[in-house]
Amino acid sequence: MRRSWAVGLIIISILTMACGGAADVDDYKAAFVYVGPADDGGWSQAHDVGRQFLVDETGIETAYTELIPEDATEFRTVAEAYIEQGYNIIFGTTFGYIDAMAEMAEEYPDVIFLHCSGYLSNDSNFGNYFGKMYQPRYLSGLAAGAMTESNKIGYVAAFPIPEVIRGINAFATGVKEVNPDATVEVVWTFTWFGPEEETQAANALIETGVDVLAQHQDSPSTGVVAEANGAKWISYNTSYGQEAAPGAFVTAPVWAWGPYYVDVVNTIIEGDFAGGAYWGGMETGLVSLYDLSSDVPSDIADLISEKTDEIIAGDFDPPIIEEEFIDNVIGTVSP
Amino acid sequence: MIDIQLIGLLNATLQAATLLFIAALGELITEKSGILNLGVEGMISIGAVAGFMTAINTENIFLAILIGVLSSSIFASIHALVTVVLKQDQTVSGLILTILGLALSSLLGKNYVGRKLVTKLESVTSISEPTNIVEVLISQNIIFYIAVLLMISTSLILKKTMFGRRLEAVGEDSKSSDSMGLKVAKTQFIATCVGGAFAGLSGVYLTLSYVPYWTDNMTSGRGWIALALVIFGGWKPYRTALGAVLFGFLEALVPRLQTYGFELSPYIVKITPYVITILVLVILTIYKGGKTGAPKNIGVPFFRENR
Repeated sequence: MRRSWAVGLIIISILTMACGGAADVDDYKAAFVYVGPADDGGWSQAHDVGRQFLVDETGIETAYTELIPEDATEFRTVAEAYIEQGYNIIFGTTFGYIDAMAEMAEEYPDVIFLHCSGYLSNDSNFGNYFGKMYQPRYLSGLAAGAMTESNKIGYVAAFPIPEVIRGINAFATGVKEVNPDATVEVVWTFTWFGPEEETQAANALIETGVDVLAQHQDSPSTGVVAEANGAKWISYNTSYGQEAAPGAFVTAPVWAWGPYYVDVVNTIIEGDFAGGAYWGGMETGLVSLYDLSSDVPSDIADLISEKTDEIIAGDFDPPIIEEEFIDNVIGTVSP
Repeated sequence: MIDIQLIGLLNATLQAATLLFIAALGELITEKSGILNLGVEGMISIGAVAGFMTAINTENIFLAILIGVLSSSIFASIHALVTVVLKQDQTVSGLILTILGLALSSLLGKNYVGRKLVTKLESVTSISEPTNIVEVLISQNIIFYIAVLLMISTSLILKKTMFGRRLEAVGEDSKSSDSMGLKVAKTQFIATCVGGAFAGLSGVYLTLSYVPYWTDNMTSGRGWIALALVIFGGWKPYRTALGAVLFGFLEALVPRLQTYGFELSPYIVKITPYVITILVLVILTIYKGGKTGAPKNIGVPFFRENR
């Protein structure tokens, strides 16, 4: 008896969907899967702020699950539960979900899968998206180059992969432009998030005499070390950390996923979504440089805003180098 | 410049070692009584967040240490209740303690993520930039010296006092101990809570000194290294301290080797503590006929009725 009810309901819902005419926002529900806590103050929080922006702008129903490891089975369990509840747009916000998302996109052709930082996609229901973070990193390099007095800048970096190496080189390009004598020393931690490892790495750099620290990490350890040693700090991800190390904080290349989430959801509602890859630069607002602290000299602040305009206008783009370090970087690409 | 880096390496080694050592020493005491507590990671997290919250709210560093230690100890009493009183599986209970501790600390610390700590644990002397080994040794914070005292006193208590003897007897053979009139359950309960208190002290050291802020999963696996350390140390305080210094040295060495220009895979260095621990076990098995120093009754629940 119960089963026939269920079948009846399914038939009715299929009929309503088929006869529903033009799609609107109520036909869609978007689910987000995060690798870290939604309020980690870093990577996952940036995505969650984007999700809230999406809700405010479009009124779409959303849900999220946090702390899902980069593991195919874990992602699948969560995503399938959402699909059963009628969610038809699934955002996976870390690289490690890539294989699970690719498989599920084939299994569930009616569900749209959007994967952050991956490289796989198809031309119907599976797309990837990322931002040109190297652009604001270059701008933060201009600030760092101007602020170092010892001409030594430290960079605490997670993994020697193209995304990170590209960022270091763009940063070092900015440094070189304002201060040809300064060098950027890189220490790898081999973790995205490791408070102890990041602390050790930042201290090791301070011991070599650096007075400005930058990071491609998700915890504010580097900033706390900079603060304790009177050094300056370029953060990452969000303006988070300003509070943890207010004296050291200079600026941060930051993510703003909200506008992209709104765009892509509108495209889906209009029926124009066709998978593919999206790589947004500063002109889209996806990546930007956070407000500079008052310690940045005004001529450098002017230079940064000038370069920002050039990048946004498309007149200039920092070089993309991901195979090796440029000449003012100390460290090895493959330790 | 190399001198500053060597001093830095030494200082960082002691910091990493202190964190590992205190937690390991606590686990050693718990295990001596025959109770295995795999919840070290969770207990450190609880102490870390409780200490941090107290320090932010009261700006009283000693109260922060006290609250951190007490909270972990109370938290460990859950394990004591489950395994000693209710006689349940120690492995499962310990693992639950780890998961619960990490989750609970995230929940408690939600509003404390990324906040600046004003009252940190400072060096006991006024040397801010030590220039030689002696200065490094005398410029640590109070918990470092407490750790040294705990090492000496634990060793003395285990070897020389009646309480130490009883603790060991219970861990070696709880049934005989019971027949001899020793209070097995009480001893094990106390040992588990003491282990929790030590883990709490280690947690406080983490968030008030070593990495002075709060974020989720602060411990990132240090509790598991502490567990390996107990085995490495053969359940002996001094050897555990030696192991802590060795493991701490490796942790401090990874980033510094890179600044010296050496190329050594951090992946290899990261697994070293575990590899060394397994090697020690293998060597002891071959040369000492399996006498690793483990208490014989470890992990076995004590049922008086089953004698």
